[in-house]
Amino acid sequence: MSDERPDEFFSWRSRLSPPDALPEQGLDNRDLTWEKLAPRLQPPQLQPARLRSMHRRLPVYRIAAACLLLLLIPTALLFHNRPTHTTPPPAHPAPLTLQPAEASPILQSGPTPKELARLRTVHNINNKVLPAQTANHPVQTASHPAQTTNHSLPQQTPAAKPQDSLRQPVPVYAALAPAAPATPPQNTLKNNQLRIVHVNELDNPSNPAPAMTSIRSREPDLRALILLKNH
Amino acid sequence: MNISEQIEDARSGNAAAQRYLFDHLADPMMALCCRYVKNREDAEEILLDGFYKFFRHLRDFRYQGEAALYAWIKKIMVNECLMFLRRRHAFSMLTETAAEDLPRIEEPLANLSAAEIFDLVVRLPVGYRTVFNLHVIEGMEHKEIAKALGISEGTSKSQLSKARLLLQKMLLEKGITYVRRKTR
Repeated sequence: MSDERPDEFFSWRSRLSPPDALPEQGLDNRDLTWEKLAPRLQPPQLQPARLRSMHRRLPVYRIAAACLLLLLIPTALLFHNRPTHTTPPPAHPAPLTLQPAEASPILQSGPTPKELARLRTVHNINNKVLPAQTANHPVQTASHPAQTTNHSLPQQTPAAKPQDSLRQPVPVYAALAPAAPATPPQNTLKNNQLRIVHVNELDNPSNPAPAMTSIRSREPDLRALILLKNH
Repeated sequence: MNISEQIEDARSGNAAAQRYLFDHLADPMMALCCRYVKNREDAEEILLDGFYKFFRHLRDFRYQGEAALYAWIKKIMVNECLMFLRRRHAFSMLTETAAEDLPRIEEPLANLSAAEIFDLVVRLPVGYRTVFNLHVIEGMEHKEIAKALGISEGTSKSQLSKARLLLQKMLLEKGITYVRRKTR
């Protein structure tokens, strides 16, 4: 703790305080200093143009600053009230992507909401339509389980009875393309086509159902027919 | 024409009366500004700003004698100096250390002239000098200094203690000895 008292340096104060204590520290050129001060003391109409314009501009700057604040404050409040986190996308079984060229022409226009609801139903091994399972239900691809896309839900392996796996719901969505590129679910719904494949069709890939045959695969045959006609 | 009449005329915008008051008060105010600000050009700028405020608010001032006028303009100038120093220096960065119990220097200082004291004060660093000027010369309390500079009271005390220590070293260099006294 300091032990200064205000009067400790009283002698210094009394020496420096009088107006005539330091005459050598006065102004070098009093007239010049006054010439700098005098224009500022004049009324605004008598002031030099530079000072007048400065005085005129000052309210303009203030108004501009106020307008800027009026614009910024509601904007800041608007963004402040907005929730910072986005809502997660609804959890539903993500369909696998299909090559548009290989898709069935019936589904070229994409699934309607009604079709999507139908796609959410699952088939058991006896070809009976069961009510839709939860979103965490296992999804398999037609060709191989390893070919599931990144958007397929995590695989749930039955823990207790391996035999029950036959009773478990079977693949709902099947990919006609063996390795479909991973695309976001929104794009998949919009741009790609889906079709329902029954489990029995998967067992016999050498004899695909007519619906599984793509137009492109049939095109060479059509061309051959046309050639034959010409000859 | 006495000074009260000059003040009345200066209130109404009389340039001659304003010039009279300026001539009367400019030199001591310049010395005051130089005590806070080393650079004379900066001190002159502060002086101009101070006199501008003085004349602008002169109609609010009630003349009660020359001492009151001098005290009022001195307060304006000190405030201008502090505003200038606050713009240039970050007083909030001053560190607070335990103020040392220094020996008192009374007798040798009484023999120093005003110019010698002025030279010693302006050689202090800005933080020490400002607190020393405000406390010792202007007679402000540490609480007031802390408020004016935006620092803590402890910082103000430690700055004053350091200023005193440095002044003692400078006095020793000048060959001035001081006596250690038991203060309490």
